[in-house]
Amino acid sequence: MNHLKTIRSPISVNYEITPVCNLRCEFCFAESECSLKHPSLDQVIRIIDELHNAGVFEIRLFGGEFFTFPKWKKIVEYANKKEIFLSFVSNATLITPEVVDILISNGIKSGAISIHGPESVHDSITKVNGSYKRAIRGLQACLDGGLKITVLTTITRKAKGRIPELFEDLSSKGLVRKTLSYGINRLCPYGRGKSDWDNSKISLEDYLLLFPLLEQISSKYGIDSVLGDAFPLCLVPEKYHYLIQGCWQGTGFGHISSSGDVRGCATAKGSYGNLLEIPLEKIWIGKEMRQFRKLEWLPKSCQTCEDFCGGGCSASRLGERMYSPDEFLEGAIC
Amino acid sequence: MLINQRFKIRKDIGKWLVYFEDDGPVEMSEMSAVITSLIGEIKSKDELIKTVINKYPKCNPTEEVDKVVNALQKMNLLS
Repeated sequence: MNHLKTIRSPISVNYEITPVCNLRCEFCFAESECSLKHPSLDQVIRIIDELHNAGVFEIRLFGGEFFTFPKWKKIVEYANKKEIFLSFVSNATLITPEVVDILISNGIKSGAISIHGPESVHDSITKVNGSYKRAIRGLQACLDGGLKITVLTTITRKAKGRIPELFEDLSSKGLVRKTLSYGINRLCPYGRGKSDWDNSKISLEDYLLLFPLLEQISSKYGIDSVLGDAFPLCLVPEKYHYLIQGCWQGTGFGHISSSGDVRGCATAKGSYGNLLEIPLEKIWIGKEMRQFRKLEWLPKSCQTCEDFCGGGCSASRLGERMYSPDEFLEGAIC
Repeated sequence: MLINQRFKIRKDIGKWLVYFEDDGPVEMSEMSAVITSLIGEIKSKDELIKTVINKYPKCNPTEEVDKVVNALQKMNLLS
């Protein structure tokens, strides 16, 4: 039977430093917004210490929007002094050349910027007019400053079919460079993403059309383009498998909420334990996480599949559970 | 001989993990992990072999060092 490996702690985590965000994306799985409260700097430092003590190598500074945290610079400096590898996931609206200088001087080499489609689509999803223009300015600052950036689009019904427009715009602005890459993320029914799931989600057929699109982007613009999540490989023509990045949540990768709750991934809700109360290593090798790694919740065909791919995205199916089989797995011939 | 990116090493459950900042994790035996960490500090292969034999007197140091160097070369991790 297939199963996932248990290691003593995640190698890399998304750490949601703050739940506060200056945008209000309609599908935000974290339900971030500006009315929420930042945690204290002391709490953030305690969480970073615990991640360091547990042997976590890399922190992706995450939110909410990381750069809304008033003392974000202190966090970057503190984690860098502990020699933790750092990167960030941001909406880029607060990133300026000065911000980029601070990031680079603290060892940060790369990050990811969320752009949900061309300007009209992005601003419609974020509910903030002008957010696209600010994201583009932030992206330019990052690239000009020497950071490697992945632009990430969470794919929705609004965005599908509009990605070429986004690239035409990025290209016209001189932002398609060697240091840019592109990823499409799957929409997941958590947080606000759950409320309008039926109208936002895209179909399996739509997903399958993304693969030739990713190839076209790579070929036309000379940049790496991938589906940045897991997807059941048995549903995708083999020639496109190389475009699927996959996911190592719950094994080498984890998510830490702003309050210290440990999850397998950013999109899922719930908690395997709180690292401010229980050491991360104890949570990571604990019964609940081992249960996840046993994969008994996957269809039998996945559990016994000889070309096991992980079974796709365990946060993609509508429901109340922390993890469940990929939304498209029904009818899959494994 | 130098590893062309930052990396970190930790002892894990039944193995060692080496995490290369750009290329991700690789599982290794203790000796391979130690040799990898030494490659980050010692540039000459002869000196590296001498250090390995001091740490692991019973091993064939040339063979062990070559094994790790070849593996890292295959992964384009050496410059």
